[in-house]
Amino acid sequence: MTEELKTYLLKLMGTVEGLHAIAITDRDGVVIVKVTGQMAPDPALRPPFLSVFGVMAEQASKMGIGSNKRIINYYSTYQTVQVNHHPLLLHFIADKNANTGLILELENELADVLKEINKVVGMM
Amino acid sequence: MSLMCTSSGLLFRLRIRHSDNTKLKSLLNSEGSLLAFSGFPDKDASAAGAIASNIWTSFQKSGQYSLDDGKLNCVLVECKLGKIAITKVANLLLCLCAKETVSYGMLKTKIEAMAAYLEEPLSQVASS
Repeated sequence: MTEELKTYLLKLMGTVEGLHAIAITDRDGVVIVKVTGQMAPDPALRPPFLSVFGVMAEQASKMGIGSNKRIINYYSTYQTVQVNHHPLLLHFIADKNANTGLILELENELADVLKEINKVVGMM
Repeated sequence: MSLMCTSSGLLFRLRIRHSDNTKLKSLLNSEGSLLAFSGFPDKDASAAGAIASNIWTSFQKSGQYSLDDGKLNCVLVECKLGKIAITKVANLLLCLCAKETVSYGMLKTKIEAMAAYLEEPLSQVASS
């Protein structure tokens, strides 16, 4: 199943120009599945970086405007789009010039995948 | 003394370009303390400012280490009831809260325009 999932994620990744990596993690940043392109920054796909979103999503939920759904960061060379799909976190790492709207659209494409992974995580 | 150097001048500049979709604009120092804000009086404005500052600092540090990319330009946060944009102006943080219906593109464009508008006068304040 993992190979099929990776193939599907790679296919999705190819649909957005400049998208370097897709990762699905738990709220502590532990990677469940990830696919990367050649240009993907390796340290950004490790728990120290990925876990920051989990903590910040919790913080953002205390700002008085409801629970956190997404955080988008624009750096000088990269952009990160991170989606809170409790209890899973979805991370996209892309070039700064990549189309953010298209990346956000991938969230809908991944809804079924996340539902399936949620079921497995729920059983544990 | 420029208009920006007075608190009323600062508020004047923050109030400019206020639209129905923007709930609050605030200016924070690097520790997250609220310096000025424009919008509906809200007891949570300072708490939200501190959290916004923490979010900015955390992503900036993790980006420096993991992306070899020291400069964080903009952060967009979406929650169920609203969206928040954060960016740096001089050595301060500008935070803009909007309704959940505002699109990301509009929010980003708006905070970039606000940052460009405030950059020069706030740089003068920072360097004095």
